[in-house]
Amino acid sequence: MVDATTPRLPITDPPWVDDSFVRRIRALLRTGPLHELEASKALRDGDWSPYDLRGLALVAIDTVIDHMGLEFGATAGQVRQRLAALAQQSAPDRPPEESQRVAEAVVTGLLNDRRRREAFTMTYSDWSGRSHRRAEVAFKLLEEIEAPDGSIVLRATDEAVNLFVGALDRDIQDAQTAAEAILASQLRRGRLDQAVHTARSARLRSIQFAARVQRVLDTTRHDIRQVDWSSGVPDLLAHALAHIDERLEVERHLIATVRELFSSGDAGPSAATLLELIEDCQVRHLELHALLLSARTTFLEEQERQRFAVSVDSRALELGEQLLQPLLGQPRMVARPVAERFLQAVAGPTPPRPVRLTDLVEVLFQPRRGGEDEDLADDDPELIDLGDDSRYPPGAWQIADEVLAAAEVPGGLRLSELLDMARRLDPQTTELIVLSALHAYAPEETPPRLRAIDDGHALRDPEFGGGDLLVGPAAST
Amino acid sequence: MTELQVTDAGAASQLIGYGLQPRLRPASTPLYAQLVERHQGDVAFRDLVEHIADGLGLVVLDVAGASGITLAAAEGSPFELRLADYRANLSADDRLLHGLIHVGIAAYSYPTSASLTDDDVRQASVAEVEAFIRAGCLSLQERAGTADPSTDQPETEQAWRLYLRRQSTRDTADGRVGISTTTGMVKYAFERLVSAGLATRASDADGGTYRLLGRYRIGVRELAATTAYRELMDAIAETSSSEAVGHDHQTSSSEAVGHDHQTSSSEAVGHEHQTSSSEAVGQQSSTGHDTD
Repeated sequence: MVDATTPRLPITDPPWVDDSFVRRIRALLRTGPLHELEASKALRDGDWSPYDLRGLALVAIDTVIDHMGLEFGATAGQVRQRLAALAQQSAPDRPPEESQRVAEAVVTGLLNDRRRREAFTMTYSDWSGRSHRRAEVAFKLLEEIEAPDGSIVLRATDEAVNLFVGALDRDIQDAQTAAEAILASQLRRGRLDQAVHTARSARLRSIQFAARVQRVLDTTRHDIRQVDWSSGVPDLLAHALAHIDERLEVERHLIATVRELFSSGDAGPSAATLLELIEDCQVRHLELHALLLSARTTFLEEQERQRFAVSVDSRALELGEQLLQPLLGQPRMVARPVAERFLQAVAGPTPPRPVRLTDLVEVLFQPRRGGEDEDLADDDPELIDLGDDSRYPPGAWQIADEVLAAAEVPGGLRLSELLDMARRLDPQTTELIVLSALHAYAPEETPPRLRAIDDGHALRDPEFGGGDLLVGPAAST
Repeated sequence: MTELQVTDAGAASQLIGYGLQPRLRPASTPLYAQLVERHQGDVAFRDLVEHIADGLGLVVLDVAGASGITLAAAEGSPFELRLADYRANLSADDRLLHGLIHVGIAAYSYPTSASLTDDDVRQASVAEVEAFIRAGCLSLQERAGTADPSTDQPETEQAWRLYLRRQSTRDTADGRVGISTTTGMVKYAFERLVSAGLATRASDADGGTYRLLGRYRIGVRELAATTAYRELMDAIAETSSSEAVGHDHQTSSSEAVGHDHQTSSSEAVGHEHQTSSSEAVGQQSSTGHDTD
């Protein structure tokens, strides 16, 4: 009876299956990695229950965005440091190494290190067509990029900015307009703390916008074919330009309002923060403005430049499937030249170096390695103790050192004088003295201790011949 | 467009000179930044740079504000890395393994074709890359079954057998990685990339963890991967055309490239991007395909 009286819901055109449904579910999925991170606590080494990994992940994204501009930003190390400090607070009795590990887990989790920094992928049901289909959303949250100064910094993706700001289903342009309208009204009602918060999200919007345009330009410079310059990009640029003009106007107005508050004495401590924020926002808009103005020129130039560029396109090449695996499956004679070629190409240009004699000697003294039978010898230890193979007993070295130390006087001593001294102490050390003097003639260590010069005097000695070198301290000769 | 002066040759060469010092950045060298800017704005100057590079046996792969100019050595150029300079006294087997390892580092770091065009920094560790290549070899071993390779012709033995035979690690008295183990070779490869300014050391975790810089990605994408792929396809085509007289079935191209899904993806490379005649990857890949 109940069944008969319960009206059925109409199943055609269900009101919840519209564009907004897809947008919302996609927004929801983008928080997935944070929940996965939280859920992974149970699998970690040790009890991680005191730590809120979701919260730490949000702080991480927050920190990254705070430091983000058109360029530069926070490094992974800085973010880890901040997270570790917060983790430590939530579990003060735990060892600091653990909070370090927690921080590390959060940052690597957001970078998706586990999947080699590829995008996170999540699937969902999409009923917006006529039938159900499984769809996939792929996104990143944090990325590491190279800053112009060569440092490696973190960048939050558009998705992460949206996640952080919480405006999950909004066009960035609308979101910015909304944020500033709210800000203006808050200012009028004197709610400055709230206004600081709103200004902060307005600034994030500016950053996000700039990053998007920057990326289009970078891609254009690299390969114009990858960018839709026929309709998509010009539309984006035109909108952005109109939008920025409008924003600059609004922000000028906001700054005037805050300054007024200052002069009337109504401004609290947050007014200064607010003013700073809006000014920063304005700077970012102006930078973006310049970027947009140059965009058209960039496009025309790149079109000219790339028209004749014939490049073999490796963009569709899956390195693992199409290069590594086939190579591993090839006979050695086929794989070898290809693998070598790859090595040479990837190594970058190597400026030829003039041969130095000392390098050559080093090379010549290297034990021969390799050969087809190398594997057989692979397990042998590389170093064998041959016992004491030193040519001179330790005592001789000591005496030679003493004798040579005598030469370290201003003006130095003749080799013949040193030999006389050595013979009196221990006749066996004379050879060592001669070799040391020769070594000092062309020292290899830096800085050399002794220096020898040949001033033409001949050595008169029963054992040795050659020049009677003048040996002295390296600095004075 | 401005008329070029004789002094511009100096400026263009200077830019190339900066490219040969990959650790230099425009941000820290004002003249470098100036030259990069000029390169981006002045078409005549750009041509000049390219001609000078060409004369020296260099190829300009990329010029960007942040990373500066990225160069590569043309084949046979005096700037090309000689394998003897990569590491002294390498045997033929060692050279193959070192080459494979470099392919492995790139394949591990850029798992999808899309990741070759991203601009984020990728990270890989010695242990991960070693395990990745080894896993690739093991899957080939599984497919090959228990059939033993002929021992009288070592050169027809597949590369994966060589890799698997080499130990990944070995105990050394001082706890360091043995230099002729695959792990030692991977480590060496990464360190070479670091000294060439293509990677930086991130941590000591996993036998050494490294970040691969944009320059490295550009080199892989614009030159190394394409060249190697083209040569591989040529070699396979050649091998399979002489197949009639060959004796080892496993050298056939169908076995190596695989019929399953790889044929279609290699075709995609060809059709999607390259319709022009000369250098097309597509040509090679379809040649490889036809001979299957």
